[in-house]
Amino acid sequence: MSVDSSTERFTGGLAARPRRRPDRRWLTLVPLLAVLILLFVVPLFSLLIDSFRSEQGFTLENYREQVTSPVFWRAIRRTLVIAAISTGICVVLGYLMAYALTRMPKRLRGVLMVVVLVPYFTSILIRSYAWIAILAPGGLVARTLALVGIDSPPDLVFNQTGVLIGTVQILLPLALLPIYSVMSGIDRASVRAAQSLGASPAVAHWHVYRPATSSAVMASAALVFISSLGFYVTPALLGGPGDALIAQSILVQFSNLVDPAGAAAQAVLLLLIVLMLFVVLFRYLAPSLSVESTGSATPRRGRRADTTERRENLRALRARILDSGLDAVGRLRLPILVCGWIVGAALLATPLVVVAIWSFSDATYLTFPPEEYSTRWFADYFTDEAWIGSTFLSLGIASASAVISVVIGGFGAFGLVRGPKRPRLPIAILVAMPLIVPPMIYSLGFFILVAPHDVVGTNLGLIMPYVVLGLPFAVSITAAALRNLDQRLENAARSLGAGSLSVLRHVLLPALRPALISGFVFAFLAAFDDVVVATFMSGPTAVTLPLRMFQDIKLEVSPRTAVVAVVLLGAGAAAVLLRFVMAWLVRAVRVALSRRGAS
Amino acid sequence: MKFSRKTVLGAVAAVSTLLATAACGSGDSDTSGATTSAGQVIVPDPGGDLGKAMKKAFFDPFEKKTGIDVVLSSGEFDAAVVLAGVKAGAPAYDMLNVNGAVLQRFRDGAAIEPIDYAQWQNGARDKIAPVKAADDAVPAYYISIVPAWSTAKLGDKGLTSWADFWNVDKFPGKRTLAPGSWGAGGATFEIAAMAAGVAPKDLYPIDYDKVFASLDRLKPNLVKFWETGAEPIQLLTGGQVTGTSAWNGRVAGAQDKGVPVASTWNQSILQYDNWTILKGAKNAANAQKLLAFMMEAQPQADFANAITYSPANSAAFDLLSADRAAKLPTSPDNVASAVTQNYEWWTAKAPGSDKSNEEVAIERWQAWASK
Repeated sequence: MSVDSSTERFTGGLAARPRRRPDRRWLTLVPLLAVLILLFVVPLFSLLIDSFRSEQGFTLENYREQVTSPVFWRAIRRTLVIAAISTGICVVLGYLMAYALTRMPKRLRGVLMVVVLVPYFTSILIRSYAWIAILAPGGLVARTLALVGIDSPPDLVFNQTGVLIGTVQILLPLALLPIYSVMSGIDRASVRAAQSLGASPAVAHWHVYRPATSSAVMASAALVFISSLGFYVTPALLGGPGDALIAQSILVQFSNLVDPAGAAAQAVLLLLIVLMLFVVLFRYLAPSLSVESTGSATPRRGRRADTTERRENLRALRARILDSGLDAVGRLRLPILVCGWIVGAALLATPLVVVAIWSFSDATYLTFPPEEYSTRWFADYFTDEAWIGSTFLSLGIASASAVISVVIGGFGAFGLVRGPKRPRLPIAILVAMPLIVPPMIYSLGFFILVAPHDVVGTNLGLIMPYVVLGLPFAVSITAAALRNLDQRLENAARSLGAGSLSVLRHVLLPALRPALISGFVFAFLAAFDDVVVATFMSGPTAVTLPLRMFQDIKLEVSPRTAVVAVVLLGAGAAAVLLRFVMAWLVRAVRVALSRRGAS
Repeated sequence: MKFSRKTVLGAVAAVSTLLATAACGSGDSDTSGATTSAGQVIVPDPGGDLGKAMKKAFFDPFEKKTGIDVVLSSGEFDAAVVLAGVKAGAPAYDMLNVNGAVLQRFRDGAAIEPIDYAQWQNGARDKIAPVKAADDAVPAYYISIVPAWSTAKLGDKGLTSWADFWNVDKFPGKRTLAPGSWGAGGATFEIAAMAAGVAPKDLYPIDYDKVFASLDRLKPNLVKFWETGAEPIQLLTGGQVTGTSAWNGRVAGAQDKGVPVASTWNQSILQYDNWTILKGAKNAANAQKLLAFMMEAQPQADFANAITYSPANSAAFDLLSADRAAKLPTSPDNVASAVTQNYEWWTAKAPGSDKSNEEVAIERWQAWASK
């Protein structure tokens, strides 16, 4: 079942060559582990020790207090339920949207990609205010429903529904992009082959296409689930009086009770609960943690041979039912895909439309629709050095840390998937940790560790933790793609005399490009969208854009942060447009040149 | 051509270091270079109207007078974050305004320095009233938490008490309050007690059973708890609530901008912040100078003219017009119908516990709110 044995079996002589040299592929794990241990484990560990320390020495009091508190367990239960539901919605919608994307013409894909990334262009705070304007009584939804005669719309905000809508909007891209990056690399020839052999489209999809995407689906689900556990602002603004989640509970412990040890204890317990969940779900989640390769890329052996005849019959029956169900779904596939995109795009883009309209508001508060329009908030932004400075600071820091994350994480993913098998599970868990640990706890540990060394308020002080936060994305997305990549390609290249660098350049990089790009995008956004780390590490001088937006709207709700969203959105759209114009130009030049050559 | 993996890794390491240093280099040039020979002092920027008022009344005149740069930091001034910084030997600010109940945490954490009153104008310290200046902290300004409402929905003659606030039959619409997880900060415990008919003089010790029974009655009409000082006005403006608790300066600021909101001084809860100088502050000497300047009567009066928060130096009232004084929380008429928040009770140890009253209140609140 291991990658190595299957390689040997299927590649025969090709595998022999790398075997002659000692396998040093594990070396690619070194930078990843070094970064994670130095910049993540050490700071966290120093905080952990604090949670066991009292004036009298070792104590479990902080833990006893939390474990015996019904408040803690209620928050945990609510958090897990919200996380599970939003993960389900995100993955289903993300899968449909990603699949639809792969079947679209390339140009349309670029435009829709902007829609997918749209949620990242503005502060989480103003997005939440936009949701309130949309969902609250008298808001956009209620007014639209009133037009069709529904006068008492359901309560959509200041309750768990509001929290769910806000959470799904933020995490949908995170579900979609990893799935898309794997889907776009799948050769559709095998699906067509299955169809030519008589399988209906949906059946062909289920049996041929879906297995190839399952590891990406699991990676997405794990990413979404884990990320949602740390959500603070969304439940605080969109939830009702009794909807506090665990991150809010940790914050109250930390900020209001000024009890970092108690906050750390809550975080540790959350961590343990999540790890236990993962152990229970291990069989299903294993691929996403790159522990075992279970995708269709590697052939299965072993246990299947022992199954009894009866179980085989049962399986056949189940398959028949499944196939007839799939046939029904297959006939509806177009409406399903279209609906998926309509719902998804509405979730992703509506708040941004509201924010965009706000940016042209003349009011000092966020009234929707605005009574008067002006561009005064744009003038305000572009003439304010502090805002412009923060914008460039954030762009620079997020790019630098994302590049480092992708390079270190890319090599790490290679070592994880192609390297020795035994340490995979512990390393995979370590890589996922920065996502599970609430950012507040990690930031606090990191801050306490580095504060005496004059890095607070410097770019380095911000880049270091952002590299750590970007790594889970870079590693898991690259690893998912790498597992779907046939190792024989690498071995073939090597047997033909290619060195490691050539294999990297000519085999791995081209094949992994979509994954590396989406890894970069997420590592970039993890840094570009962060408020918590910046709270600790910005100091008075290096105030990042999200922190400035957060503070600004926290202190004075005004359309100013809406302007930032529109400016960033404009820049993003311009970049996409530029790419198309460039591609068109290159093609035009090529055509012209070839004509000249022909004549 | 063959490269060993070590070469590749080396190259990668080199590139990433290069990128990191390049990025750092460019950033540093942006942020430094603002200091002059007189040095600087780093203070938190509270933002909004309060930030503008401080800048106008205190920081700009001080810069002009002394040449010392006042660096406004828009970072987070969450008490726990600041305390972590002090503990790590790297406070984010030189001086800080902290809420009356939070001050005790700074004292417990040995996080503040004594104030150098020798630098103050003669007699200025004695003019600090009604709360006296302490050796390590001086009241910064007085603010009130008031019942506020949307005049668009409830008209000009709106709420007159917290009992009215609870009365949704007479004053229809949803409500919002500050979360009690802030302890004394949002005054929600006092508000709920007064709504249940507790007389101002009997507020302390807080009767938790009465408070939570009172909140249970309001809960069906309570859409959420507000999280930031700007949120109540936003919720009133957006029409999501018709009544809220809010800081008086926020309401006055919104009125100045033409927002249809109003408030009453009746049963308002008077709070105050303290200026403190943080232990380990890099510019402690400049911070002492700035503090001495801020507490002079004239800047205090300028401050109260810029925002409707009361000056801490009572001599400033001599420089204010009668009209302006009437809009401030500590003017005689307003303070007569107000309750001064009892920080002494909030920071005292709860009976039979090693926790403060505030800690106990927060824990009881969490238990109630999570139900």
